[in-house]
Amino acid sequence: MSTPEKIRRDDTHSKDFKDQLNQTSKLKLAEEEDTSDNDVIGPDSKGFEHLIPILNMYLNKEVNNENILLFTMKQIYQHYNGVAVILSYNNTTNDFAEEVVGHNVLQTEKKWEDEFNTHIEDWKRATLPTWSDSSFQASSNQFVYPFMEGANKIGVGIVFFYSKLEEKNSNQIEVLLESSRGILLEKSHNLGTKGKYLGTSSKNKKDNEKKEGFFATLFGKLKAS
Amino acid sequence: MEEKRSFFHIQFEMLPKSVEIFPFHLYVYNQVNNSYSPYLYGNSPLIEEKKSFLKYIISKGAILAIPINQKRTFLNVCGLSESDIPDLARPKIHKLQIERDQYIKELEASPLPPLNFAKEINDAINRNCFLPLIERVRKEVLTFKVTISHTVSLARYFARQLLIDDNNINRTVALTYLFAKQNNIDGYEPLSDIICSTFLHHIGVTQLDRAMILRPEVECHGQEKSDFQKHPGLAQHLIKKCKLELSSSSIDTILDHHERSSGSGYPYQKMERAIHPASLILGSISHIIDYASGRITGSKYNINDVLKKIQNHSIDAGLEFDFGDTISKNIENISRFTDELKRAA
Repeated sequence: MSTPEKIRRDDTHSKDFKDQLNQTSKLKLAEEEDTSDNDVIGPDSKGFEHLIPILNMYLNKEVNNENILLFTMKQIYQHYNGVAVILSYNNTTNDFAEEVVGHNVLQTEKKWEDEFNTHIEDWKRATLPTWSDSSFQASSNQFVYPFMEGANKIGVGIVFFYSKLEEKNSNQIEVLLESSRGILLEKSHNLGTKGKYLGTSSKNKKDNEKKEGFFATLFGKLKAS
Repeated sequence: MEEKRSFFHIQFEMLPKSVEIFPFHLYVYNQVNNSYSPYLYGNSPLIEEKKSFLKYIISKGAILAIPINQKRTFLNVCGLSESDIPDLARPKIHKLQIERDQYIKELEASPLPPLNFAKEINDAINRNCFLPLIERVRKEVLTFKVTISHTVSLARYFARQLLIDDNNINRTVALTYLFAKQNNIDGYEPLSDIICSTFLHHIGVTQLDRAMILRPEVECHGQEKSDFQKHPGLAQHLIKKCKLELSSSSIDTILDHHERSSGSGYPYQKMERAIHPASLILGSISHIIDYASGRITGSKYNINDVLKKIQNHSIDAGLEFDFGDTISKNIENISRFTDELKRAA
């Protein structure tokens, strides 16, 4: 049996729920009636329809990280004709590790080794997303997308376009690359690094507390003397 | 709304060369100030001076125009039809409009049977196949108008592109949509808000350590738990960063999908009236699907068992939420139907 308090709360909720629904529906229906039939609004999905299948894989335990990155790379190639490379970064050794290399999977004419040797230093320095031709007029373009966790670099995504890319698609490339962040975070955390915005690990926290305790004691003693 | 037009544009060469006096007025359209000025009233002669000056101002960008109420007279005198005048040609129908009209025609030819909510959801759960429900939602959403808002058009687009196979996201979309309709949420915009927010509500988890995301939620404590709780905000951030145009209520639904009636949710611990019904519906369905798939506890469950646990106010880890009275009633209806089926068997 419900307690009087429970009944009161449930009734209130139910009424509120219906009131809110009625208000919303009336408002929306009135807006819909005012709309002209002639102005068709085309959807601009910004590439999120390609991100949702990746999310589906992301939440499925049976799909491993390599397959997700491979799928992302193929999506970029299939929809935008870009050859994507995703590299993870080891902050201790300052080295990149290849996670997926589009040139090798797609067997492109351009050799990955050549691109790597030419641009490696630029990618190491990159801290902001950059297009090699931000006017999108050149016949080829390169997008460098560094993945950061706080101040730490955790990886870099590079997309090579060997033909002209339309500027309107630039955002969509960024959306697709963004989907790799969780996997690069996992790699980076496995290597023992963790950036600031996700908080310090419990081990580091304890160390900090200890240090604070030591200095507090030291200054406390000095103060007292 | 489009204004009713008063004039239509013609070219100088359309005027009959043999006639000098026209039974219609000639106007001139000035593109600079978007205005029409009378140039030669009907039954007045178009003398050579006027003709040459008219040609001059046309060469400078003016456009010859005829009042729309003299359209028939003009066409008769000039021996033309509407199709000869580009400005009178009917505007091309947008391909999205054509596509929508086609779907509506198909649905009229073979209409969807009325939905027996409890029965069809039960069938889907028992067969572990949600494809008929997903397909039904797809068909319904494809008939949404394409002239209302970007969110409505986006919902149609997502439905067309993605509601084609049976996976957890599509199950959540289909069930949330049907639950919302069952709870009297109606109209193209509210339903589109729900479709878009359901597709995108978990997009923020791609910004978090995947190993943590795959760990059962009940095993995440302390910092990990607080990291995981950032995902609604991260989804919102990703949407804004990519400049995806979504209605504010759709974004709010994403942000609030983990809020619970009792105030035990996150990120803002909102209570009852402060939470939009759509967020409560999305939150409950998403949680049920996640619980059944093993994402919450690490063990997989039949959805019926999850519904039963919720109905019995189970205090199992991961189910200690209050989804609110209205949603509980819906769940109760489905469970009652399952019990009746079992008794009949």
